[in-house]
Amino acid sequence: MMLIFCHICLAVFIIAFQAGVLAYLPIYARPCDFMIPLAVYLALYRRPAEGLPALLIAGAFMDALSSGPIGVYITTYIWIFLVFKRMTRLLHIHYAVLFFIISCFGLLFENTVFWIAALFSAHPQPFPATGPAIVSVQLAWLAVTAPFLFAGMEKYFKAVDNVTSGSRFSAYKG
Amino acid sequence: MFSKKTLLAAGAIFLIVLNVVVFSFNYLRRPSFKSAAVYTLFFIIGPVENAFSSLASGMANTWDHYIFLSGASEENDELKRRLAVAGRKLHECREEIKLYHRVKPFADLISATPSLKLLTASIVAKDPSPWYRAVMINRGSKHGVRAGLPVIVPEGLVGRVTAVSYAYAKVVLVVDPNSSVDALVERTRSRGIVTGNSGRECRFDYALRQSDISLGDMVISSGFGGVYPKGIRIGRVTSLVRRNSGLFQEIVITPGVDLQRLEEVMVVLNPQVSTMLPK
Repeated sequence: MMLIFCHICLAVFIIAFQAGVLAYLPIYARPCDFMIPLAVYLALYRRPAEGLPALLIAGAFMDALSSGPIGVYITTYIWIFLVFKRMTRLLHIHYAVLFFIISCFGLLFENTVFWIAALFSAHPQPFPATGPAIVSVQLAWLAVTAPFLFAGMEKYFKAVDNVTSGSRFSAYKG
Repeated sequence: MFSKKTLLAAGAIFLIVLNVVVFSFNYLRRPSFKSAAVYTLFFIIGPVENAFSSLASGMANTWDHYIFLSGASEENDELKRRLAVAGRKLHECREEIKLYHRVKPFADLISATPSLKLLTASIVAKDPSPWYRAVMINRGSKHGVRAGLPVIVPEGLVGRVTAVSYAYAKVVLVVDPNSSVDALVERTRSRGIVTGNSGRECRFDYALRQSDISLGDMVISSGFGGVYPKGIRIGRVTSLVRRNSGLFQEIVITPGVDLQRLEEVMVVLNPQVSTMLPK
């Protein structure tokens, strides 16, 4: 429970930071969802019992903040978690570069979900002309931040594991 | 041989004569002799004077900067402290001025539209998705905010409240794909629907092809439907395509409000009041 609580806190911190701080930066006019790297990390290196509750709650928070259809973020995060969790059975991934590439796929997946949701909304929207630019900027953000995010999450989860060493989920990798 | 007095008198006379001779050199028209003398004297005395001057300067410098300034450290600390306080006050004053410039139009709008009940709010978070455009404001049901209320700023329409909690509310911006506003062109009263496209601009749909609409025309809320009061400025026509076929024109409008830099907004608590807002 302690581990899950820690993961939820981290997710809420990321959401609050990107919605309340980063969103005011002019260079962040086309935002990148930094929950995607966390979802990918949880999928690759943590147990479903740890990752899924955190992602469910994070998705609910994001849905509450966003004007998009309810459930679009929950859907995205859960699918990312499940798909990449499955992928870890085929690939052994423990490098920042691979983490970045998989996060990119996660981001593309998220944008695809949004686009599909927009297609089926009350006011169906075609793929916006600015779509490629939006995705490119997001990928650029990810390219710049992924190594730091990866290193930060490694340290964070190691510290959390040390603190909650009595937990039955502790020190789990892959 | 000579008495003491005689010697003194002779010495005095010799000195006087010597003085006269020396002074008379100044009036001699022999500058080369004078220059040579001065040059020789300067050659001898110059380095000595220089050394003494440097020494004196060094001593004065040492006195001024080290010995005499034994209390300067405390003075320096005090001045630094005062400078820090002044810098902080200056920063506060600048922030106050900025706040004044931001808030004054709001106060002007409130006083200019007494029939509207306006509630000011600050934006505390923005939609983290690039595909949707919404903000969270720090006013909720306890302040009288409810879903459906329009949100404006002095420059024009911002959006509409879509979800409310006790102390916070979500506002969907006018550029959000889920937003639609019944609007009309201010100049010709041509009607249409303003819909967001998740970018920085909106579409003005269902404007008939024969309607007289030009670039730069102001689009305002029509007041139909009861969601938005009539006359709120939405934006200006920045792109217009009138094809040979088809019923409607393809019009893009740019909102008058810089939605990217919003900090404070006003919720219209009684949108049923059909009031033309001042321009």
